[in-house]
Amino acid sequence: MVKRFSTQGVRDWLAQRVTAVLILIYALIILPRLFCPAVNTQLAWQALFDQAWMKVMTLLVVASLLWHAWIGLWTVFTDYVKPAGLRRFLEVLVILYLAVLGLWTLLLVIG
Amino acid sequence: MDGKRPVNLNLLSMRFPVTAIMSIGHRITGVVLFLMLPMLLWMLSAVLSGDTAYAALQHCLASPTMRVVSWIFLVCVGYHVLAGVRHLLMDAHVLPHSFCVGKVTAWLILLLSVVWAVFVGVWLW
Repeated sequence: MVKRFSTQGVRDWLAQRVTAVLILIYALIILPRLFCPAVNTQLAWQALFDQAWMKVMTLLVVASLLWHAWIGLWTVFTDYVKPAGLRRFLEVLVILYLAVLGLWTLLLVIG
Repeated sequence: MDGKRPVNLNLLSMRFPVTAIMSIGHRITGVVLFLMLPMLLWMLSAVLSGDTAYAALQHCLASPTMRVVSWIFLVCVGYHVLAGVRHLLMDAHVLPHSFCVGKVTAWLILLLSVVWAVFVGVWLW
């Protein structure tokens, strides 16, 4: 009989979708600029990333990306990596990798 | 377990429905994008470091290897986004939950991904 149940699954399911929408919006800001020579210049990119809303948006989207990637990766590991020890080890690697990327972004955007 | 049950581990002899291929593709492109994240940050840091770094980045991205890497990245982004939007539309019940709709939208997304891959290829080369 189930006496307690976790809402972790629902939270991850929702987080994966909310973060996906945020990343999609950001991609729609960035991607079209690649194909438009007038704004695909160093000056234009610098001007874009100098704006406060873009800094906030970048940090928000990178945080979303890290969360989104974490959910995706542990799901994949759960399905394909059966030995628990190895799975934990891979999960730790992913967390460290994502933490480094997050801190790097913070330095890039704020510094 | 009954040891006499037939076991088939030859994946090549199984037929996968297009929806299964779509799903595994979403995972593979997701993992590829995850592995490419440092490259994105490296590009962002070059873009924000002024003219010299930007010119060096442009020079680097123009090399044959980096063109292929960029193509793989952009194709994975396109596929992952399209497959993700299909998921969101299904979750929101915009798309009915039937195998027929699943199959048709899966084929549609594979087709759109090929169009995107060709477009990006033409743009890069």
